[in-house]
Amino acid sequence: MLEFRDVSFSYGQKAVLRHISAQIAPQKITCVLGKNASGKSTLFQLAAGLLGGYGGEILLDGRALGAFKPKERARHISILPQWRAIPQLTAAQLVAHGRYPHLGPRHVLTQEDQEKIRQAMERTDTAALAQAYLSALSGGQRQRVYLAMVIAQDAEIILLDEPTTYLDIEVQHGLLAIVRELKRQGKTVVMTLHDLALALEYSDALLLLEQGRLLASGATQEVLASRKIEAAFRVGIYGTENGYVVRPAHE
Amino acid sequence: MLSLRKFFTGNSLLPLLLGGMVALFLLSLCAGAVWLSPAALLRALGEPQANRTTVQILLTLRLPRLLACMLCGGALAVAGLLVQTLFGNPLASPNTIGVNSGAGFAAALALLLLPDRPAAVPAAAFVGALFAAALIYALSVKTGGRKSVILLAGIAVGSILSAGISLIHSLWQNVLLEYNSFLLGSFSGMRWDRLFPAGVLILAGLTAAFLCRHEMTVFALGDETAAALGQNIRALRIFLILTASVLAGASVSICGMLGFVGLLVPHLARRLSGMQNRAQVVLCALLGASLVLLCDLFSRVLFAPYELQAGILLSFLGGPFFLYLILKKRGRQSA
Repeated sequence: MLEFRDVSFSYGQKAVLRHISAQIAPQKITCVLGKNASGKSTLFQLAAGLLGGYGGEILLDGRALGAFKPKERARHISILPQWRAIPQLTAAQLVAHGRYPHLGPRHVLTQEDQEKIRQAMERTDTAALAQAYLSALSGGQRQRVYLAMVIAQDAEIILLDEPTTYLDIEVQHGLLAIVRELKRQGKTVVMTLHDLALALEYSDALLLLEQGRLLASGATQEVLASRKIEAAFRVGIYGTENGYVVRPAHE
Repeated sequence: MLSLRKFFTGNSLLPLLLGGMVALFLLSLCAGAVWLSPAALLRALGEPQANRTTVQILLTLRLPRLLACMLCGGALAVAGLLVQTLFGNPLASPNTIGVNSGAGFAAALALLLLPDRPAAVPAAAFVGALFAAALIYALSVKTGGRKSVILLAGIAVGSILSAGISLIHSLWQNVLLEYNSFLLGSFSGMRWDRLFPAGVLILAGLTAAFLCRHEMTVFALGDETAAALGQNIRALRIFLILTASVLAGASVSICGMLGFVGLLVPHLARRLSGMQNRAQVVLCALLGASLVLLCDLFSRVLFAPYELQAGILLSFLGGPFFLYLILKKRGRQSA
């Protein structure tokens, strides 16, 4: 289990996260909500061990995250970063990189590694794209290939930073259906989504951030009932038969 | 139609390049101010006593020269690959970011201050290359890694260090006796003693680059993704800077500031094989060695009996290619 204990982080003089304490529910989908510059991406980078120099403690299964070696940490936590390069690699080559933390010094893919890669590409419906170069793929296809790489990493905690940005609504739902499937297979998924309606529809738990502070955390319905999301985003949220509708507060 | 890349996929590329390099090497052994036919070469090998002149030409002139070409070509090409991977910038090379100038300045300084210790030259060149690479890297980190800033900073640092070389030459003209050859890069008059210990350093650097070929493919995915996959990116960055500096520094200490190999060759390797960095270290080494062998061959035979500096031909090839890359990049940005 991933736990934040009184975590604070600053870029120089600018405090980005202030005294965050929260536990990430295992085998659930947790969405981190907050306006731009609320500290969501920084929280992800800290959780993935990409940033150091923070105050407080981040614990993974009760052990300080900083005590893990990079590859060992990557076997437990994987992250799909917001910014992704488009290297001159085929889809299959990129997905194979997901096995990096599991490989020995000779970097030889074992039968098990190849099976994980195959499964990840099947799960994300990217097997047919295996030999295509990333630069030749659409944004949605590329996103799924990167997700396949993260799945191939086979960590129990998966962090997805804005996985649906710039995607068509149909592709967004397709990608989030894969996320749901990951939860069913026992993975813990933490993600940020700009779309509040999607976040409410797909999450089991929420962390609500505002200007680096944790405003609320808990089960999605509890946090929603507290109306803190509506106050933080200045919106009205309405439940309908087809999901949630979010409207600006003044409408 | 079959694309060049598809033609070369599989295992055909490496043997083909290796064969090409060996063929160029043999041709270069024959060609020069005196043409030595393959039959004459074989005769000299069979009966060295009866063919002393041929053996002497081979052993004292051509062999050290050709080995220097291959070592420096391979070293600069692989240094270019490492620098481009480090900065994530296809326009970066030991030449364009001032690493060669750093090595050249330090080498000239060593020749000035330690004239009786030729072995100090490659060590000094390594330190100079390392200084320039570390300085550019620090500037790139400070400015958020913007690609244009890296190049402009490289040009500025390179200009300052080149001015330092000119200053040394102006004040102490006996230090750099072959000043033009040093600035342009040349293999004329190469001797065995200039290959040691720099050649050993190059072989060590090439081995180090080959050993980290897998790490480079992960690093090329970007800092965040590489770190998320569990790569120790800080350690790898230091390793890349050190290795590129060893390769560029040792090469400069042998042949002077040979330009554009480190820019041209990694592009050529990518064109031929895609971005599989794992094979690219070997591809770059073979292509770099072949390109420099070819340029040196032309530099000897084009205006024979006069010789050009190999660096002149490389600049004629590399300059337009650099402009092509810039224009291509601009075209992409405005598209």
